[in-house]
Amino acid sequence: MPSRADAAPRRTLPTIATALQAIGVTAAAVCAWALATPASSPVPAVRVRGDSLVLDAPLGRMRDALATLVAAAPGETLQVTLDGAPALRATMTLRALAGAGHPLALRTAAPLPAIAVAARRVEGPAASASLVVAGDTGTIVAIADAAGALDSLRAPTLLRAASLASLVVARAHGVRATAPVHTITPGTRVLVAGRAGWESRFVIAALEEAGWQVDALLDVAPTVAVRQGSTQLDSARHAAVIALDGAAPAVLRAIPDFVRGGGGAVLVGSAAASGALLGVRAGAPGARVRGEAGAEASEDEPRHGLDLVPVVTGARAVPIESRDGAIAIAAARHVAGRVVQVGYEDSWRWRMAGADDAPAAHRRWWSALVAGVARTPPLAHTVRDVLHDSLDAAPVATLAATIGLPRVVAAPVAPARAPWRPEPRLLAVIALLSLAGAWVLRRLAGVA
Amino acid sequence: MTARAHGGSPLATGDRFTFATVQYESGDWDSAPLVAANVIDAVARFTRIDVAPSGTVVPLASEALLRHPLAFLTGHLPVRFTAAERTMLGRYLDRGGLLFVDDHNHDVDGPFHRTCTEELARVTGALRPIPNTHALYRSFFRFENGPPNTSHELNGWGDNLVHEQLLGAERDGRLRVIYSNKDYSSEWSFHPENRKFLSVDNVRFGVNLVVYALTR
Amino acid sequence: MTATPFEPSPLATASSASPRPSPRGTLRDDASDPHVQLAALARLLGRARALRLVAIALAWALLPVLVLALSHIVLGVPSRTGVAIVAIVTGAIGIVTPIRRGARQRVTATDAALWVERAEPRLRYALVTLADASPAERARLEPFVRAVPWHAPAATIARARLRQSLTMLGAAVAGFALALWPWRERSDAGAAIMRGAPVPPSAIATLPPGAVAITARLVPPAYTRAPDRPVALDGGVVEAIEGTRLEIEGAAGAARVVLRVREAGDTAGARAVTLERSDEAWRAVVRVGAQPVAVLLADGITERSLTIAARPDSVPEASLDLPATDVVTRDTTATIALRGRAHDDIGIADARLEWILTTGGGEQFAARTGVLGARTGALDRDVAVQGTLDLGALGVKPGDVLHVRLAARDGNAVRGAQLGTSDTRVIRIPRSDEGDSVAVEQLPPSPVDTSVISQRMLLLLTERLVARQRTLARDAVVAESRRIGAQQGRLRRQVGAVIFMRTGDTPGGEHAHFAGDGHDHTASELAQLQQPRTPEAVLKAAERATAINATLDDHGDETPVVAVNRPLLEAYNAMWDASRALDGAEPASAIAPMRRAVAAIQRARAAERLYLRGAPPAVLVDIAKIRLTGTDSARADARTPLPARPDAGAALATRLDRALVLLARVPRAGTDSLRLLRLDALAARPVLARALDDALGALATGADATTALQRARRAAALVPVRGDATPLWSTGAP
Repeated sequence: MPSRADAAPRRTLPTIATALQAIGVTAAAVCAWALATPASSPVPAVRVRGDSLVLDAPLGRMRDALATLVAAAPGETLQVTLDGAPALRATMTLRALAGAGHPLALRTAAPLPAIAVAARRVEGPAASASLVVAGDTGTIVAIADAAGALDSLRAPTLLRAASLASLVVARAHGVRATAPVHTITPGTRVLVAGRAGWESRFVIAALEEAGWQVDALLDVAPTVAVRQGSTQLDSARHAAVIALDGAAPAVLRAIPDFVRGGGGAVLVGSAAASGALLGVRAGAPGARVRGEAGAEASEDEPRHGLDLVPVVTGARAVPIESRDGAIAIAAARHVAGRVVQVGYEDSWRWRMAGADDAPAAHRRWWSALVAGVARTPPLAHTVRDVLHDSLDAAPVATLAATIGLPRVVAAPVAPARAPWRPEPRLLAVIALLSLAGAWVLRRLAGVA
Repeated sequence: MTARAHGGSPLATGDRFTFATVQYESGDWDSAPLVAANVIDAVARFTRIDVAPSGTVVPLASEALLRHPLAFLTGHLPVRFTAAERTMLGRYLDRGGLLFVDDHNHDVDGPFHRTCTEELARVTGALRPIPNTHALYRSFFRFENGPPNTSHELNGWGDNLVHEQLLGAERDGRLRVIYSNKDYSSEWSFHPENRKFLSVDNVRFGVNLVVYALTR
Repeated sequence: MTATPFEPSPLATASSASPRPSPRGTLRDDASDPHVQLAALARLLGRARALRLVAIALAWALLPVLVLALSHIVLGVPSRTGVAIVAIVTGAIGIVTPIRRGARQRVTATDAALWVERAEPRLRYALVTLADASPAERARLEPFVRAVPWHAPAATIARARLRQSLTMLGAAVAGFALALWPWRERSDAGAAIMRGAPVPPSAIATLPPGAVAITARLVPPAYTRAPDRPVALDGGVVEAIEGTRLEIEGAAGAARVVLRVREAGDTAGARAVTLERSDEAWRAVVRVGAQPVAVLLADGITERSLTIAARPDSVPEASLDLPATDVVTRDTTATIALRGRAHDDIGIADARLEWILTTGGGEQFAARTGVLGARTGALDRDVAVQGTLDLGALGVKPGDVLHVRLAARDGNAVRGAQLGTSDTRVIRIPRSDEGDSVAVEQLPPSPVDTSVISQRMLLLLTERLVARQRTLARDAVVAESRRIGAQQGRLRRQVGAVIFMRTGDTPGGEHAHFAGDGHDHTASELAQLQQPRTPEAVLKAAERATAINATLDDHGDETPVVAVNRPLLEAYNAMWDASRALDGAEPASAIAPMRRAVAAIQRARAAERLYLRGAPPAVLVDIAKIRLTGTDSARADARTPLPARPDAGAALATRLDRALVLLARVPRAGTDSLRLLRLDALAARPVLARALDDALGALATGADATTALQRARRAAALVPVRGDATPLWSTGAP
């Protein structure tokens, strides 16, 4: 007859086995539910430290958080907390996120400077700089440069300055902010390639009016092309190239080498579908979306009236502008050069049928697109990068001009936590172990 | 020269060229209804330009004019623009539109010529002769002697008036207005079926006009 | 009886009982009361003394100011601002000090009494005693004081003193004004010129010793009938109508004078102007064109300049009041009243109502022109013109169109008379068959239209063949002639088909085949088909059909059916002749009938064309079918790129910065640069030009130009931009 000590395990083992079995079945069920239900992770909060963007997520979930951030549906607000004045790189990344359709909620616990000023050269043929003065709304800021006083303005404001001398100084309420003025001259010669059409005609006109020197190769017939200036894409001659469509294959074939060598390329609409540009494009062209009828005549959103071939961006691309959830403009760096891919087609309609300032706005827009990628002289390029990345004397001004000023809060905002969600893999392991344990215990109980 | 990149038919987009005839309040704007078809025919016959198969009529005072950066105006009768037409024409030309005007009368100093040039001058300043070496005459076909003559000027039953040069108004190196006394409205006003009788296509200059408008 | 000095008279006693000190310690308002009189006198004397003290103090203060002002006028130092500061400080001291002294040393009633006693010994100090007396003593003394007539003379003298003090003060203030007068400042004159005010001769600058004296005047074009006006080369800006001449004359110093002129935007720089000399006297003329022009005169001692902003003569404005709108009338004998107005900034030279009457249709139009109510000569700025248009006298017919407008020309002799016109009114007489609608859908293009160009081309081919006939072999001529003949025959049959289709007959009456067209027929069939139908027979058949249609349509003699078919039948005849000649290899004989055929077809087209406003038929071209089937060879020339357009605003800003640097180093050169900059900015950047004008004015007077130069930099360098103008990617490295 078994002793009481021997009888006790025999009584408890089936109970434990039953419990383990129940746990295993439950875990398997939850695992199946978890696998069947899509994840609904919230967009992780972002913390900005200097030139770094830090995702506010547990270490083990960082990869998921990053994936969620990148794949977040446009329209979801990103919570951004500044630990201090952001570096330009971080600001531009935030701007790219904003351009991709994510509203940004900027917060900071750190006190902001009362005023800030930034002066940057507007890259393009015109010798002008953009002057950003940030501060509390309505603050009167006195602006001066090395040559003397310039003006008194109400912050925040954005100015186009035709001529500034070396250093810009802003003063208000005894606070002084300064910013150096960069004077770097990029190349100004551009090659436009495409079919003969209204778009080519008006792109050329806009660039020429903005001061660019434009060469052109426009396909008209199988054996006839209209040639203007030098039509062979040449790194030594051209600062940028614009491919308006899939015509002019000789130019398209030369674009990858040109960009690798530091040149800039603007790929418009279906041009990115060309096989020659697969390696340099920012993304694949999507299906054409019709523009909103008559919207090109509006003052606020004239590009909403244009047809759009959305850019389905690749991993390297940075969205610059989006429309109704689709990426309209994206950019990518390719070795030493830059590529901007524009989904808008027939921008000439904006110029012809737009509001009163449409011709000038169309001109500025095209000039800015080209200036954004145009090659700068090698030495100056290095200097510029250094300047841009490390010597941003007015990070807050740049931030304000780029994505707006953050809201100051008493303490950093706690990041939004994701609701608890079972980990399917863990549950599967638990289920397996539990069921196995139950089986073993039952066997042990039977043997005993 | 470019290779035939993507076959004979271009990708159809909103960038399509549509031949637009201007409708104005005074005069007989619709005196040459077949010009559009013949120019379209010639453009399709010689180029890969994406061209709409039929022309359109656009009132001069209408915003719709801004959808057609090349517009054709013709007639026999005196031309007097209304204030709205004058304003819209100025806006159109300032934004980059090109107006091609042809005097359907093929005469000298006729009522159309006098009134139309006067009206245009009020918008663009005085019209000046376009040099016969202008890029317009070399944009696709080469016309060494400037604008091609029409049979109305040469065939003996017309008025025998040969106009050596077209007139035009230019801004920043781009033509805004091209004015012709050559009566291309008659020359290009035949049924397209009759094109087979032509040993040399007489609408070739129309192709140059379209190519010039689309490329400069 | 003579009253004792201190005994009150009964009258005085009676009156002395009434005045009593008021509760506030002042005397009651009794003009004969000595106390009241003394108090008033004391106030008067106090004011006179205070003003005199101020005047004296200002006079002393004026002394250093006058010295400094003289130095400013002669030597240019100190600046006007410096003189003004010294004047303000010394003036303030001059005003404050005597006032403070006056506050401490007020003129009391006792002082006034003493002053009176000195002038009137008869009072025997009774007045002084009265001023400080107790009420009891006062009652005793008053009758005595009243008995002496002291008050009126004393008040007169006191008022005279006050006037004297005021005069002194006025003189001192005038001295200050004189010292602060802008002796070297002429920007006020420049501003007056900008406003269009004539420049008084007094605005001409005072020249340093040795400088060449000149007189300059602006002579407007004769047609403006405006008077000449003198100007000074004082660095200012004057406005003048285009075509004005600037005439500069000097009596001496021609050898030293260098006159240069620069037009705005002229990159070649200033050009020298040749002086017309006679002995020592000289004269130069500068013509003002459409652009602002700067005139620079140097004589070795000074450099003077003047900027002339050209103002174009405006184009006359015309409007037509009657008829107020376009007119459509069927009454060919109506009279229509016309009335219009014209205005010009200088004067109308010619105003008239113009009409153009257009008759006809299709390709054949005739136009007549005429004028009504013409007024010529030197007319006023505002002119009214009226007239009556008699349609009956003009002989208008249905289908005619009249265009009427008012045309006004000014007397511009520089650019030529400028034409201003009113909106045009269209007076239309509709055709009888047009109905009341002006928006009738147009008929599709007639088949006749398709024939005219073909016939014209055949004619061209034939003429070309005739021209080459001598150089070609006979066989080739025959072959080519018959080829053209075959096409002519086909065209003839097409015309025949059109005729028979319209007259109700079947086109089969004229068989539509021809030899060699690929259709097979038996010999008998061919013989039957080729049997010539005489033109007379065709014509008879056509006319028979026409008569039927005419009855049906009942449009009168000029029914479209008749109008179209008669010339078409003529064309048919002519084509027949041409065919025969061509088939016989005699192309030269075919030319005349071919021309007749073209003309006849043209008449047929003209007869059926109506001018109707409506949508023309849309002809669809089969693009896919004809794409790239053209055989003519094309070759586009390579183009030269348009030169890059510099940013004019940025260029001005850069030039301003350079000029400012130059101004700090070499003031004269910097000032010159600013002047040229102002010249180029006048038309394009008026705000900048105004700021530069102020700066130059300040520099010329030695005043502080900082504020004006800051304004200039602001105007040149800064442009607010809209938010959406932010460059997309311009500031960031990816």
